[in-house]
Amino acid sequence: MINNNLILIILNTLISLIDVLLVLLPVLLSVAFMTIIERKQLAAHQRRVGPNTVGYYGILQPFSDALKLILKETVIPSQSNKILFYLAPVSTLIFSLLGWGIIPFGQGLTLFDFSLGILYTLALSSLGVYGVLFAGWSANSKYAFLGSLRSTAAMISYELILSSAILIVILLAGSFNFTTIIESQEAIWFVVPLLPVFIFYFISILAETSRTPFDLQEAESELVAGFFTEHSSIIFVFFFLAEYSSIVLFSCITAILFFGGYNMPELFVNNTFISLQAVVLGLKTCVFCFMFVWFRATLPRLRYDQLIEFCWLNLLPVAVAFIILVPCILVAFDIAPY
Amino acid sequence: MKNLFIDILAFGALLSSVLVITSKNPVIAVIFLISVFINAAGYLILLGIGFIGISYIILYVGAIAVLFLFVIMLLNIRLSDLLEAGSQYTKNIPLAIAIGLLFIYEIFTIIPFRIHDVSLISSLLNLITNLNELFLTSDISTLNVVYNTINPILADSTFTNFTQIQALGQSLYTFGAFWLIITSVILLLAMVAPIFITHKSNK
Amino acid sequence: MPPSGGFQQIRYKRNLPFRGPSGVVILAGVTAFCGYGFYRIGLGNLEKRELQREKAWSRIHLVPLLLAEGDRDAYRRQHAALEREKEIMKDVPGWEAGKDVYHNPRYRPADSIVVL
Repeated sequence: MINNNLILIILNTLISLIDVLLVLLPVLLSVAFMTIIERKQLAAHQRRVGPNTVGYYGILQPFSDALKLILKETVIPSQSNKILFYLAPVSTLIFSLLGWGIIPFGQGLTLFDFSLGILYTLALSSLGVYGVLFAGWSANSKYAFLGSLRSTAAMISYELILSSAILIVILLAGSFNFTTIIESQEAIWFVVPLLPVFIFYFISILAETSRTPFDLQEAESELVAGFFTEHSSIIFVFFFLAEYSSIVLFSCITAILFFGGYNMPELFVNNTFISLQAVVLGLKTCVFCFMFVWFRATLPRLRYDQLIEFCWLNLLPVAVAFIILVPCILVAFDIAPY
Repeated sequence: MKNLFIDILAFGALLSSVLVITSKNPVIAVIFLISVFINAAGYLILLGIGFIGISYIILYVGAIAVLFLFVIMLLNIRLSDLLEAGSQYTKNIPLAIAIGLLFIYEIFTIIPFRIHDVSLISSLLNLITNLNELFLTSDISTLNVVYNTINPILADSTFTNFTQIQALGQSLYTFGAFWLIITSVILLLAMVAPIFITHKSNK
Repeated sequence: MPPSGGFQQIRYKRNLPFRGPSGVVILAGVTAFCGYGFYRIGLGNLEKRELQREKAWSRIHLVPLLLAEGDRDAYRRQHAALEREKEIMKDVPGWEAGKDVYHNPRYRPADSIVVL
């Protein structure tokens, strides 16, 4: 029964799986090293040395962290909704990692060159809210529930601002496709005409990933841990990985949408098979990961009502104003992309 | 293969919708509602209209279901009351069966439906025939469906292809401009009401 | 022992002096920066429009070639089908191969069957 068509189908599936692994394994490694970068960088801001025992300069720290967390005892509250308790962190991790499917690492080097790429990213960030919501509710504890409701309300509020900023970028570029957006930035990086938009986009990204100054929900010194208070060893690893993966993913998306993605001036002719474009994208992502940690080290926390008031009363009018201003400029000077 | 997925998604949507109504816990009911939306979105994406499918996920799952969840989680629903009320529904089952049968009879009189059209069931019932074909022929394409087309794409008909969003925008903002403005005014009215209700006036 | 005259007054009030460029200067600077950006984006978008125009015109210019190719293919297939019909029905008396069953003399392109 082994015939040509069947072999072709099996080979196609295998190659797709290998493609996905080629993207996901370095992503997971980068997420692991992001944790140690954060700790060392925070330490540098605070004039101390971070973890430096485990490997050379503490490089192997994330692996020892992961090992410790896996070997811990998993405590599940007896009155919790056990199915949702396990499913919520799993779904958060899945939707965090699914976002890597359309990031272009070179000219057309994506897992899936989706013509509606931006909508896919927005849909995944909308779905990521559910992991937070159900994790807090299923733990059956008032403080976890309250933390998750606050987290969810903050995330859906700032998602509006995020969508507005991304919409303005799409107006300039003319397409939802990530590769087209990067190619349109050959003229000039989008941060130059849209500097105020970049500012409130970055603020909304900090709030989406619940980073300081918006992290009262998981303030490690006030509430114990917010919505993932009750989740112990392996389940906590999922939340941890999901949070850092979304930090790296949003840094990458920032580099793609505003800073030219893999564009750089051609300084020399590259005849090797090493794609310098992916390296450039990686370096730009690193700059934004650095800025995430820098903001955490420098700024104090916002109180929760200040956070919500800031979004709805201060940022939203600015976002709406720019949504009206940018198309007006594009139409007035007849420079819209058709 | 695509037909199989479409059938599975349609069946999943129907199953989830039944479970929405019969779940005892209201939060579990909303979870199944989210599952209905995701199945419907997958169905639309497999049908070819990716834009509407993904906008289902962004709007229904990302905003509307979150709204439902917030309301249900913040209400003080006592589960014991719900369970008590649920056990009294069994005395209505004969009436429910009667009305359901009436509805099914009406629908199946009007719609020409043969069990052969549901590819999942017919491929199960003809399982032995299909497997036999698979063993005897040398091509796996006997499991696929043959389509009859009438017009091939001629070279002088398409110069540019618009993406779905461009096509929607071309018609919505020119021919449907009036309706677009009317719906935006309706949304504005809908927005004014909660703001007015929740606005605290400083006396 | 404390020095004579007591210690100096400790400064406890916040001291946030108003330094840096004033609001108008920042606004003008950002407007100039964004204006330059929009100018470059405008040039880029006009170039994109010209590229799309070039693409559409190249497709228009290719139409005769593709139509001729399609016509040759359709003609060949129709004749092959006619030959096949003649071959199959050569022993049947009174059968004209290729006779139209409809009374409409208009040309209708053949149906095609696609296996997906």
